[in-house]
Amino acid sequence: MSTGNVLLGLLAAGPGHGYDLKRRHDERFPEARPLAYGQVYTSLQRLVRDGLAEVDATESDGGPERTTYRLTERGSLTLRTWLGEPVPPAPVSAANEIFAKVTAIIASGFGDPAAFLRLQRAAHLARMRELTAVKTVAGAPLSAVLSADYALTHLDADLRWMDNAAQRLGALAEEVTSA
Amino acid sequence: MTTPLIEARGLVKRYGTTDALRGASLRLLPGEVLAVTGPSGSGKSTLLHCMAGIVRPDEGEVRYGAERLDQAGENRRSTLRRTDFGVVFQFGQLVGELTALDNVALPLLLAGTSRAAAHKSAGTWLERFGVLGQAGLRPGEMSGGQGQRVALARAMVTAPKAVFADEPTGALDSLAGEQVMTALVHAARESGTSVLLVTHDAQIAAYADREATVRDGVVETEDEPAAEVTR
Amino acid sequence: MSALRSDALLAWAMLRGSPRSERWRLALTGLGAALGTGFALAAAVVAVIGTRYGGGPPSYTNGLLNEGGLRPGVITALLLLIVPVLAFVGQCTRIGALQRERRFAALRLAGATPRQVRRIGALETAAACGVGSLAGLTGFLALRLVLHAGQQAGGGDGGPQQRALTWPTDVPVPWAAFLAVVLGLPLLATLEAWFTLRRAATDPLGAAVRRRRPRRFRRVRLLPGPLALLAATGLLLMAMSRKLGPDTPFFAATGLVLPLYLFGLLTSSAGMAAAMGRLASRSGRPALMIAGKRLRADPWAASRAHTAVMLAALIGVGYLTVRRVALDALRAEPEHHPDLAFYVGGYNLAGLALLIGVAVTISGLAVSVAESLTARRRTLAALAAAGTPRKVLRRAVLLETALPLAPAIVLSAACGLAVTGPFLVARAWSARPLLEAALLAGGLLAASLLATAASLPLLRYSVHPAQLRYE
Ligand SMILES: Nc1ncnc2c1ncn2[C@@H]1O[C@H](COP(=O)(O)OP(=O)(O)OP(=O)(O)O)[C@@H](O)[C@H]1O
Ligand SMILES: [Mg+2]
Repeated sequence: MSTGNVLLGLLAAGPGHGYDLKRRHDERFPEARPLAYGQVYTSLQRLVRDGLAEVDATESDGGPERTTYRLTERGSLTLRTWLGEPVPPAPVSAANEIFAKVTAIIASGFGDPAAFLRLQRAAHLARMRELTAVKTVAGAPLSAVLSADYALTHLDADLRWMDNAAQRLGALAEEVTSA
Repeated sequence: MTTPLIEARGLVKRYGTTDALRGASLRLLPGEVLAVTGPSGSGKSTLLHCMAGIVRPDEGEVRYGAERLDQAGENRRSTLRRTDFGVVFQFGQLVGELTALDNVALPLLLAGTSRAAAHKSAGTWLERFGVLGQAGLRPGEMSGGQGQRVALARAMVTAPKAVFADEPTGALDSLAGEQVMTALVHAARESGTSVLLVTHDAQIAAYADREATVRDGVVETEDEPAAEVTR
Repeated sequence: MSALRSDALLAWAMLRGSPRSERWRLALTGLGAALGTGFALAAAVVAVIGTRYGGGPPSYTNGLLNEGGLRPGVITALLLLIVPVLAFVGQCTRIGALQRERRFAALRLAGATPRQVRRIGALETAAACGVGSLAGLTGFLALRLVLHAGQQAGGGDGGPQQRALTWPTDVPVPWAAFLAVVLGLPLLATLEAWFTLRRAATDPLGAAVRRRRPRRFRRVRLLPGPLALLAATGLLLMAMSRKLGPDTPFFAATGLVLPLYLFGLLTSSAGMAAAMGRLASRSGRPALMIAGKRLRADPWAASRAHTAVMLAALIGVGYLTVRRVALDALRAEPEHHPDLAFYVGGYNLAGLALLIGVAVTISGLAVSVAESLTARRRTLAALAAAGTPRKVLRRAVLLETALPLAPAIVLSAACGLAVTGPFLVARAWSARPLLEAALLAGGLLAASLLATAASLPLLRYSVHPAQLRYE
């Protein structure tokens, strides 16, 4: 997912200037990493260069000059294509790193894989507690709830994998050390 | 360090040849939500039953304030269940023959509260959990989620010191489970009720302040209490 | 008092939401109470005949009521009729037992003390029996009115003093005794419920969480039954071989032998059911196999349901033999016994009482079969879903009654014959009592099978696949 595509999506809601777009993004996806303004600016430049967006107006009511952008015909076509395609089910990396560490602990003998998994579980659960707190605040906006849920579900998947692994560490150790 | 509301020490419980608990210790602090997780058959439910005074351990002690629940008589433990404790299970804790309203009013009625007064507070709690519309239905006529919310209302109707919840969302889909958990945690926080929450679902355990894991009948890990439980 | 009131309100609220089985249980319990009340009231009326409460010297067409020496026998017979009624009520309490256990557990979980749960359960029984008792009283009084009117109309001329009545409707209603019966019977039933609920009311997890494993059948328990039967027979043979004169051995023997036989029969019924179950489950026929497995799994259920029928066989055969032998003896010497009709009337009345008792017993059996069909509906539905034809299931249910009951009835009838054996031998030997006993045993078995068959329509409901959906 490129920042360009995200900006196209935001522009589809109506023209806006750079800071405006950044604010819209951060509000709608509170759990995502906030967009850096510089990144927004360069991405907009690239969209204009590729003919996907164009300058709508330039205004300066007293303060610094602001450029408002809007979607071009081609831009909305590109957006349409992007939205029509499924997202490739990419391999999730977090569990892989955990797995790599567990295997390495067993192979090297540096530490206890069960203790590591417990530590990891505590870390995951602490993060899940934060996310749950975010979404259960009275009057939390639905976008906040849904994005917290997204993260929670993924963390939960990791946890389930870890619980599974924790119960089968013995067999794993045999496999790793005999190999 | 805060004195625990309920403390279990070295609980042992045998069923025939299986040892459901073999020396489990756990503290439930005042006002906290404590999740108990662990693999199936590890003894979570048995631990909860012992701490709620539903089942007597074979060995070990359960302290509730100055009281020893493991030594308390059947009558005393029954009385505690309708005054100081509330229970919510996966299912089966509601009386199938009674309407939701009567079910929620049940602990009060059993304690001798007048019918009108009992129904009044029952109605208030049904409304808080969003099932006032189902007040006249019997458990068999409600959806699982509605039934669980009625069960929660019953657990909370006596303004208990502790609620014991064993897989309260076990039979619900994630959205219904979320609603039940949010309702439970909010109500508990508001009234300073402690919750002992048995679950195998990490997303449900994430509603708790602390987690304890059970394995093979012992409490394997127990999170340190936060310096100050945030609320 | 207010605790009792709030418990009563709770019990009422639960009754309103209770399933059909619960209402059936209470209705049948009430019916039993009504029957029992009727018998007790009749006994009370007979008891006051000829006393200063009895409305003048007795002169009825039925000699049993006239003779002060025979009336206690009539009273005893009427009171004994309450025994099969009790057995019937006992069968009824098993209806919906699982559900009741679950409800009590849920109440306990909500904080009811064992005492409160028992009180609620006993209150239900008290209410059902109270209503039943009142119905019994009303029915009795109505019957008395009808009979009275009938006798008045049929009597024609003559003053009431001279005319002999068939029914003692001239006896003023003994209100004190009636009050005692109408209050006492529900009270007794309530006390009984209070004690039997002792175990049901203890576990707050109860059926809601885990189902109890059925009691294991131990082979050691097989011993005392046959031993008692053997001992009784031995005693009897000894008494007979001593030939102590025509009447002595009979009375001496029945004093000890009858209780021994009763004990032996009651304790061997479960073992017999288990043995029949083992035999049948070896067979290759599916219906036999299902019935056999079921009998082996829970021989106690069969024994519980069949005890009353066995008693009926024992007492019935005993009665028939005594009647036959006694009447034959009387008829043999008509010159010494001008009041033959009186004796025949007496025996016939006793026979009527016995018949009523058997009817109640067989109804109890029907209730127990119906109860077991509904209680096992999940198993039955699973069997049907797995492809067992309904015909096979129907046959299995019938076999489940017939397999243990046929030998049990034969054994009981044999015991009945044996008890009266010395009497038989002392008098002139004849084959007729044997034939009568065989007929009675056959009739009882046929009636039991009919009662079982009457419950079979329930099977259609029990094997419905929907039964698999609910826990
Ligand atoms: N009433 C009982 N009779 C016999 N065994 C029992 C009883 N209760 C519990 N057990 C046994 O004790 C052990 C622990 O059971 P428990 O119900 O506490 O496990 P759990 O952790 O709650 O499991 P789950 O997550 O599957 O609910 C199991 O092996 C179970 O079979
Ligand atoms: Mg459990």
